[in-house]
Amino acid sequence: MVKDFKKTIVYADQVTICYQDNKPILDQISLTLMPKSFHFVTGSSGSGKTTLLKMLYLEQKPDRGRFLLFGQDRYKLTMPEIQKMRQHIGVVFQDFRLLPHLTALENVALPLKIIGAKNHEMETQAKELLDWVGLAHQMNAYPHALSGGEQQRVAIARAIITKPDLLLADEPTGNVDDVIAVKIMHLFEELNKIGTTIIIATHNEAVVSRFAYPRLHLEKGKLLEMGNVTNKIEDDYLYVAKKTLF
Amino acid sequence: MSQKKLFSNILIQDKSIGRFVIILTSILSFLACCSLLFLLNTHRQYLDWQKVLNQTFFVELMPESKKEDDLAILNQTLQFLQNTKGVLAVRVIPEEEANALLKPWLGADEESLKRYKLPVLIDVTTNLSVDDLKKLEYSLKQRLPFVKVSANDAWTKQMSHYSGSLEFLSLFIFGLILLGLMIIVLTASKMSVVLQRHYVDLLKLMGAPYRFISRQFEKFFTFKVVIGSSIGMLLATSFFHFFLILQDGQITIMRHFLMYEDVFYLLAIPIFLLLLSYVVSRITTMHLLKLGHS
Repeated sequence: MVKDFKKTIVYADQVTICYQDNKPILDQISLTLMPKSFHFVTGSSGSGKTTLLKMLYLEQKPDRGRFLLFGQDRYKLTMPEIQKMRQHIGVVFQDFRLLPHLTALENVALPLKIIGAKNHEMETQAKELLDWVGLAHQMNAYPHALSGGEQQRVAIARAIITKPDLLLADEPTGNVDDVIAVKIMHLFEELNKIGTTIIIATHNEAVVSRFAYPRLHLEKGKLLEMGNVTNKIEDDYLYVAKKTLF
Repeated sequence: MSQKKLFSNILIQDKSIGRFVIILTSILSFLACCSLLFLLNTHRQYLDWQKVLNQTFFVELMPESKKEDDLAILNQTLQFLQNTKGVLAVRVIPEEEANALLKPWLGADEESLKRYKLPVLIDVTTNLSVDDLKKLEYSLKQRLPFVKVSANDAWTKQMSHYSGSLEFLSLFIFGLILLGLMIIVLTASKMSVVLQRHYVDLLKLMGAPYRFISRQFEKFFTFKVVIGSSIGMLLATSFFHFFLILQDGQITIMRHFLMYEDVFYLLAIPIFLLLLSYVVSRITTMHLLKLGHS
């Protein structure tokens, strides 16, 4: 039985995030995600998917409730700790957020540069990943010269190059055809197998139904469905964890 | 296939901000070099004048009641001065010449000269330093208390005040120039961070430490400041060199400009400005990054 509460990747209890007018965008969300789990976050536009991801990559602070990431209390984290933690999180943004003056190769290698990897290491790994996502021929191209789908693949390669402990993807298959979408999902599965926790926010029902992973369904800021959220841990984990904490 | 070097610039560096920094820095560096050279010149000029003033001084022997005593004191004084190392020439000024020195002060009242006993003046020429001259003055007074040394102290003090004021003014202008540079780098750093907020935020989300992000700006600004200040320094050097050529070896007030050792002072300016801009840029960007943290 898992008793060590610190071993969770994400723990949220009654978390609420409000707009400036006090209208909740996430309303009393409670969830616990264990390491090596794989989840989809679904919901209509404005349901709070992106806000949930923002909270997970520490861009947005909850207004109320308790939120722990990698077992550490969000409210107690100092800025250097947040920076360190973010280096263990890969993010695929909905709008890709590639740096326009950097080549595809440089964009992919950027997280390695941030953690201080050596040049040849960065180059080799970035080339390998670009090759894997089918963009070996475009490694010296700048983002404006790439199609939406290609940019998305560069963004995905950038998010996974450091083999993060947690990967958050906002609509990662939104701009690619089905073949590439499946390929990307397989890449995520492979990452998951080597220990990365994956959370994918998507509208794509086909992908969600094809890959039978638990889903977190959001509706108007409320978490309506949790599927098998605590997969890979014992059923009574949540009960024990809650009892330990509160 | 030739591969371009990875990451020449992680953030986009705005060319117009770069040019703005180079131009303003070169102007400020030119002015800083000018004020520094002016300060050095003034200081050297003061030392020069002080040296000239110290080369000659008067020894005054106040008249005693007995003529024999006066003669004895004069002989003792002359002997002492002539035996002092560093004294080049000693000359007793004849009475007519001494009177002629006083005439301009007395104006029409020349008759009064005859009513007073005037001191005997000894004109002394030395090559002594200021300190040695003070020592000479001290030992002379110890041996011969009736003797008065007129070592141009009033003139030296005047010169000291005059050159001190000019040096202070030059330093003040130099300080203002540095302040101007700090404001430029601060403004430019701020503009750059604001213009690139989107990319800065992305780097933050990727876990880049503030130090890493700040370094991208520092590199850019220090490089521009080095270029700008070097241009300014070269312009200032050329300007003074050209000015000295125009002087054509004449002994003027400008003769202390651009001496050999000034090259080191001038080279120190770009280095100093570089360090200053590095520090200002770092403080500004770190402050802005911390202000915007989530």
